[in-house]
This record gives sequence, C-alpha cells and structure tokens, in this order.
Amino acid sequence: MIKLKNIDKYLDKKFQRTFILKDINLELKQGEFASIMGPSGAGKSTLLNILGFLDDANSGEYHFFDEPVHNLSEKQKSQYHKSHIGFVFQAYHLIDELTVYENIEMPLLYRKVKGAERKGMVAEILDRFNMVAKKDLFPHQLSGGQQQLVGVARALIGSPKLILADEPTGNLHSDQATEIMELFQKLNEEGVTIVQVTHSEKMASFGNRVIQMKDGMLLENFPHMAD
Amino acid sequence: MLKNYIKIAFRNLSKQKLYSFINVFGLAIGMAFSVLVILFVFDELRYDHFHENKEDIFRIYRQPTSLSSPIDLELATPLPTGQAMKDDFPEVEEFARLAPFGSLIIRKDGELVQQSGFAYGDPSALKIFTFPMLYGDPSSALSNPSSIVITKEMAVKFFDDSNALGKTLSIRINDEFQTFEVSAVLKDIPQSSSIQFNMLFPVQTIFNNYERYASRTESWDASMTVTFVKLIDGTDIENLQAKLPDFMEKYQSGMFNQMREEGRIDAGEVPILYQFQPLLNIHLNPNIPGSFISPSDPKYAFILSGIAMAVLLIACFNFMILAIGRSSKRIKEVGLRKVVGAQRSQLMFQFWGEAFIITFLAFLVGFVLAEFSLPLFNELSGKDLQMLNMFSNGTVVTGLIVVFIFTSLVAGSYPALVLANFKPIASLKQKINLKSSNSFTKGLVITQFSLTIFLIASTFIMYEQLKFMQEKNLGFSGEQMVVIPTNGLDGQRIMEIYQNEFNSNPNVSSVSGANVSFASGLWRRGYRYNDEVYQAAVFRVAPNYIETMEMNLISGRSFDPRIASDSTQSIIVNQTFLNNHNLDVSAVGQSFPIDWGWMVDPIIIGVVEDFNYQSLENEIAPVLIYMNPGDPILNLMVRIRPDRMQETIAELKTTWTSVTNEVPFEYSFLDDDMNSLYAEQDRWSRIVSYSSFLAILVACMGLFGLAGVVSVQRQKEIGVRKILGATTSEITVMLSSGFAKLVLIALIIASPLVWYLMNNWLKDFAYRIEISLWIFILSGVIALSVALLTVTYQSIKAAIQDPVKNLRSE
Repeated sequence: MIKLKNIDKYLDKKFQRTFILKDINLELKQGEFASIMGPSGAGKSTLLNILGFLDDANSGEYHFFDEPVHNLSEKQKSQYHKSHIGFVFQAYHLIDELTVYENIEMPLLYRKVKGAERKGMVAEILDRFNMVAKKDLFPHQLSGGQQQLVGVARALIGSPKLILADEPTGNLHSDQATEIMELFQKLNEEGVTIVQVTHSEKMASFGNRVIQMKDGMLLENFPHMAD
Repeated sequence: MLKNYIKIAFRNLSKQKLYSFINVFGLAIGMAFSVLVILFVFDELRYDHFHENKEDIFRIYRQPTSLSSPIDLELATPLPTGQAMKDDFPEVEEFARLAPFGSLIIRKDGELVQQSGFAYGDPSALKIFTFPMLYGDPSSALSNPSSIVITKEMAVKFFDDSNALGKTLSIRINDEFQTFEVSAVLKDIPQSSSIQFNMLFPVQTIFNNYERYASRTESWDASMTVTFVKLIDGTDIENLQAKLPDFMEKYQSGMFNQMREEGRIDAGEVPILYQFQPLLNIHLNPNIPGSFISPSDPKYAFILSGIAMAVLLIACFNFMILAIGRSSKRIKEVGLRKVVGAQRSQLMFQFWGEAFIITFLAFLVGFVLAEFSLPLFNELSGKDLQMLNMFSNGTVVTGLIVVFIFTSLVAGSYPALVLANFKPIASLKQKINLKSSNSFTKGLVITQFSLTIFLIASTFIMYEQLKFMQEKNLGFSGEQMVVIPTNGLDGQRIMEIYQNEFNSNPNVSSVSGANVSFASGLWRRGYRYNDEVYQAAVFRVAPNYIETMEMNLISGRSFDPRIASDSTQSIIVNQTFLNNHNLDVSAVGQSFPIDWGWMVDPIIIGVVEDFNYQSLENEIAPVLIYMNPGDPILNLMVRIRPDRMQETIAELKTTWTSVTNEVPFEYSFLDDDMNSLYAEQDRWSRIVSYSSFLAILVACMGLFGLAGVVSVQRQKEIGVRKILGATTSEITVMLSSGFAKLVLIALIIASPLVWYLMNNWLKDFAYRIEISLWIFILSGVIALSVALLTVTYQSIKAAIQDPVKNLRSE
C-alpha cells in the first residue's frame, strides 16, 4: 500500500545541513496497525506528516497505492488525501466554535457530500461511538477522552483507507487511552490501515508492528544503530 | 457549507463581543458616512435630470474670445438673441427666455406680503422645460400677460388649496398692484433644479410694464435676459458653434465696429462669442455664474468623498488589525480545515464570507445611523436629502453595493490572503512566524492615525482661516451698520427723509446710501488708460458715505455736498487704483482720463485705504467712488449706536412706514451680511470637524481592541517582568509607549500632507492665514492624548493582573 524509498528530509542552515529524516525505506501493507516509536526528535511526526501528504520530502520516492506521490500536484494530493486518509491528533484539534456534530460533519462538507447523505453518515458514526446525546455540545464541554473520540470519528467519517494518528493518547489518562486503542484495534480488524506515533509500549502493543526510529533513521534500515 | 460558514461567523461574533462591537460599530460609522456622501454626490449629479429634454437644452452665455477682449464673460443676453438663433439656425428647434425677477409684494386680505422667487419666461419655457405640473396646460399657461404660474407651495400659502387654478393674486408690479389669474400650478420645484422660482410671469407681462424691457425687445446693445434653446436631437455642437462668428457679426456689428473705430479690438476681430452650455453642465460648473442659484463647486463633493473614504478605511483597518491580533487562534482552524480537505480557495471564501457578514451587519447599523444623522447632515450640507428615495435610484444603489463589496474585500483581505495560505502542519503546531504581520499591523495603525491627524489639522486650518476672514480689519466698520434696501423706491428721496429725521437723533450716528451694499453685489465698469482696458468696482454714494462707513481716507478730502462739481466731476479712488496705474498720492487733485459720457476726465479728490467689499476669496480691484445722480441709490446705510438698538430700529421702521405702506421695511446688519459670505466655508469647516471627530473615534476603538490583544499576547512577558520586580506603572508605561511611538510617526507622515493639501485649499483665498507650527503640535497632542487615554486602560488592566496566574498556564 505504501512504499517509501530513500526518503530524506533536511533543513539547510548556513553551511550546515541538518537531517530530520535520512534514507528512510519503509513498506506498509494494507491492514497493518503499525506504531512508530522512538525518542523525542527522532523524526516520528515528520515521517507521519510525509505519509499523510502534509509535508514533502526533500528527496526520495513515495508510492501510495502505486501512485508516485512525489510526482503529484498539490491538487491531486489534496484529492487523495481527502478520500483516503484520516488524521487524529494528540491535541484533538477540534474547532471550538463548532458542535460535536458539526466538527464531525466538516470533512464531508469539503468533499461536497449532499445534505441528506451527510446527515445519514454523521448519524451513523455518532451512533457507533455512542455520542448521539452529545452531538450538540461544544468541545470545551467534553472530557479529553470524549474530545479524542470526536477526533477519531471525524477522521473516520470519510471511510479512509489509512488512519494516521500522532500520539492520539498523549493527552489522555490510561482508561481513556485504552478505550481509544481498542477502538483502533476494532477498526483495524475491519480493514483500516493504521499508523500511530507513540511513546508508550503499552499503546504500541495494541498494534501488530513496531517501527523504531532514532536520529531520523529507521532502525530496521540500520540495525547496527539499535544501541 | 454556506450554512456552516455563517454559523461559525455568528458564533465568533457572539463569543468575542468587544471585538465584534468594535468591528460592526466602526464599520457602521464608516458606512453611515459613505451612505450620506453617496446621497450627497448623487444629488449633485442629478441636478436638472428631471427634464425630459435634458440632453437637448442649452443655456446661452457670452464668452470673450481672448484675454484682451474688453468684454467679460456674461450670462445675460440681449432680448432678441433666441429668436434670431431660431431664425438663422435650423438646429435650434425652440428658444425660451427664462430669468429670475426677484421679490415683489403681494396683497393678501389687505396685508402686504413680500414674496421672493419671481421669474418670467416665454410661453415656450414650459414646453422646453418639463417641470412637473399639477393643474393647468403647460402649452398655454404663459400665453396671456395677465396670467401667472405658481408652485404648489405658493398655492397653499395664498389660497390654502393646491388647486388654485383660476384664482387671482394682486401683485405690485412697476409701482402698482395688478391682478393676475393663476393659469397653472406646478409641483414644488425639486431642490435638485438649477432653475428655481415660486411664481412665473409671462415674458409679455414684463414687456408691458417695464419700459426698460419694452424698449429693448429688438435691441442688441443691452444684455437683459437669460436665454435657453432646445436643439434638434443629435445636433453637432461644434458644427453649430462654428457658425457663431458670422452670427455675431450679423447682429452685433454696430457695437463691434465702434470698438474697432476706437481701436479697442482689431479689424475683423470678434471679441465675444455665444456659447451653448448644456443644461446638465450648469450645476457643477462654478466658472459660469448661475442665473437662479449659484453653481456648486464639485471640489467639495470630492473632498467629502475623500473624507468618507478615509473614515471607512480606518474602520476596515480596525477589522484587519483585530483579525491579525486574533489570528493565532484562527491559524489552528486553518490548519485543521486543510488537514480534513479544505482547499485554499475554500478558506479564502470562508474568511471573506465572514467579512461579508460583519460588513452586512455594519451596513444595517450604518443605515440606521445614517437615518438618524440625516437631519444634521442636511443642515450641514444645505441639502434636503432623503433616505427613502435612494433605493429607487439605480446609481445610488450601485454606489452602495460598490461600497459594500469594497469594504468586505478590504476588511477580509488579511485573513483571506494571508491566513488561508499557511501550511497545515505549521499552522497546527503554531509555528507561524507572525513578525511580519506585526509590522504590518503597525503600518495600519500608523495609516489610521495619519488620516486622523490629517483631518484634525485640516479642521484647525479651516477654522483658523474662517476666523481670520471674520475678524480681519476690512477697511470699514460693519458693526451697528444697518442696511435698508430701498426695494425700488426712490433712494435719494428716502435717504434725504432719513437724514432729516435722524440728524438730531442721539442713537443714530449718521445716514448715507450707495448703489450696492457690500455683501449684496457689485457694479463694475470698464475704462481705458494708456491704451489698456481696465475694470473697476464702482460705488455711487451719498455725500457722507466715507465717514459713515468709517473708511480711512489716506489723502485728499471726502465728498462735499456744497461743491456742485463733486456730483459730476469728482472721484475718490482706493490705494489699489493708484498702485495699478503707478500713481501716488500726488495724483490727488489731478484729473484722470476716463470718458463715461456723463463724467469726462474727473478729478481725483481723495484716496481711501483699500477696503474689502467682497469676500476675502477675492482680490481688491481698483475702486472708483463717485456721486453721479444718474445712478440710483439702492441701499440706505445707517450707523446706529450700540445701546438701545432695538428701539432705534423700531424708529427707523416708523419713518419707513410714514413714507410708504406699499413696500415693507427690510433691514440687515452689514457685519452679518459680510459673515454670510462665508456660510459655505463655515459649513465645510463644520463638516470636516465632525468627520475628524468620527475618524478619531473609530481609530481609537480599533486601538482599544488592539491594546487588549497585545496585552494578552504579552501576558507571559508581563508576568515575568512583574516577578522580577517591575511596578504596575512601569509596565503601563512600557505597554503604552509603543503605541505613542506609532502616533508620533503618524504625525510625521501626516504633517507634509496637511501642509501641501491645505495650502492648496488656501490658495482659493486672496487673503489667507499662514499654516503655523502650533497647528501640527496641537493636532499631534490631541491624537496622542486620545490614543494614550484609550490604550492606558488596557495597559493598566494587563499590568495589575496576578503574574502567577498568567505564568501557570505554560
């Protein structure tokens, strides 16, 4: 499903080039639930952003369903990313001025889904997440776990093939975190590919693959760096 | 989608009440102002547009063909002009003489009423001009010399009934009351008409009653009337204009030949030409005098539009400044929306949509504000504008829509163009560097205050100039000087009666008279000196005029009634007259080569110091003062003593009524008359002062909001400083001084602009103030203190906050 080949990401500052990602080679298969782990500053989020088309690599190739992403225009990327990818953030990133219902609905608006169909889809997902009663509340009226639930619901509403989650449980206490992870597991069983960034072994254990990173490199590419 | 945008816009509005108020109210003030200005401007442009044939109607005036031409631009034409044009030019379909005829006295139930606004016209006038008519037949209303056309207002005034058709009015015309039958009632003439009258005589009535007119119906030697023509649709004016030299030669060769004989013009030279001035050009062309009302100087419409634009811009900048101040919050929303699939164009649409909604609300509030301030604006601008009419006028509606769209686009431009552009990840992580927008904000604030300071300084300058004009020593004294117009009575006789009556009255200092009172017109006469043609302002006066006016005699003597030759052979001139001809006071006692027929080579018996007989916009021309009894005295000049003024005026009236009960007693004070010359300047300086108040109000509203935003942004810094020992006052000064710097920069930017543009404005005045430094200092001090007052509230609020609370959030 995803193939990364010799991906580099760096910053040029005066006469010095700082690598954030170096020579990343990675293959992800459909149906995988992978956790990217590693110390702070290892480049986990940057890798996730590149996977989600939110950031561009400086060099290397990125194939998404055999489509060469590195050759796509902004507009094509935007199309892809609307229909194939959902995001979940550590800070939830809900819009404060919109209700639960409206936050979930928003991606559909940008995808120009017709009104009646939209209603149906939002209702279905609210039902599935047991949030029907909360649909008219605003984000600040919810607990963190509930907010993240909304975040996940929003990521799922477009039925994406891939969910990218950047420390989805980082701001939650463990009960809520477990709840979200179980939800991810269930989605994964239903066929959604999931890649998450996490610091927690426990959270990683819900997945079926761990990708270790250090200093912008994948340890599986450079096994000698493991220590 | 749209619903979503509107929803979020309204939620933002209600959540940020202060900012919403500043935005909506500030924009509303700008909008209200724009609405009023649009009404004003379109009213100016609408003049005379109600006539069906408006495109084909032209007014005739005479223009000198060269600067050396001995004849001035003249609006009045000889009586036969129109007929001759109709006979000679196939392009001229119809002509009409239509001119004002001043005030007359009407007898109503035995009482005498002085009625202004008389005019006379050819029967064709009501066919060429389509004044809306209530009753009567326009084609025959002016055919019978004993009929009269009146407006509805007059019908109600004299008959208590708008349908006055067939009723009669007793009007004093040429010293006797005559009966006129109302042949038509017009709707009241629209305020936007350059032809204004209350009652209209047939031209034949004037011919029948006034020898002055009757003797000249075929004469080309005297300019007596105003002539309008209606040309055939599609006439080429230039083509028609080309035929005029021959036309002039054909009818005015007598006058031209005499000029040629006298060597005043070259052989074959045609010194003046008729011109066709389009009806629609009359109102906004101040270079050609008006016949019924004065034309309007379009420069003031431009000034007013500029001011409205400035206030609107200041309000738009408020919107932008506050949008920037709160953008850190919006940036996150931008990132998020992009992550879930929004494109840049969709975000731009959203942000501009929000600006549209706020502008729309502001528009509604603005209309209400405009409606409330309309009476004041009408008073200030001297118009009779109405809000209701505007929606029926396509151009006005277009103007409003343009203002609306312009405002929304400008106001929403920052979020739409800058925020919507940010990369999603950067915006979600709040890693956007807003430094550049910080200096952008400063630029906006500086622009706002530059505009504000500009308006404040202009207010001062206009006010100073006005004060200067009202207080300048004019070379005579207008105080306690009562002017009594003789209204057609024999001025010489009345003056003598008054002189006898009041000579010994302790409350009257002296009585004199003249052809014109200074504020009410001017007589000019040309004369030749050393082969050049000059024009002088001439005053026909009674003997003790110089003393009564308290003019300053520099040399020679005043008129002496005991010296017979003073009436026919003596003149008093002003200083400018001497200067113009390189003479000095030694010319006193010498004769001066003038030949006016009744006065040949008069002796200069005295020189007076220059006096301003016109508004100070005009230079003083050479002045000739004489006593020739052939010219009438049209105004009595009575200087009274300051105490018991009311009683003295009552006595003046008693004397008047003992002479005549057919002409009512009218009077005015000369200083009031002189001040009324500056009514226009007074009006505009008041409009500008109101505007600068609005500008500073709107600008300070924005500053208040900005100060709030800035102190929130610097909360952490303030907290740290306080923990390290800064006092509340130190923090307040630190926060406020940043804004003070901006206002000072604005002062530096605005000053040269004020200097340049206001000097340009002052150029119209022959006598003007110098723009002094204190005006800039004062404007700066005002702007600065108002700004600091606004900002300090927010600064103190920020400075007294508990620092621990602010730092804990990190």
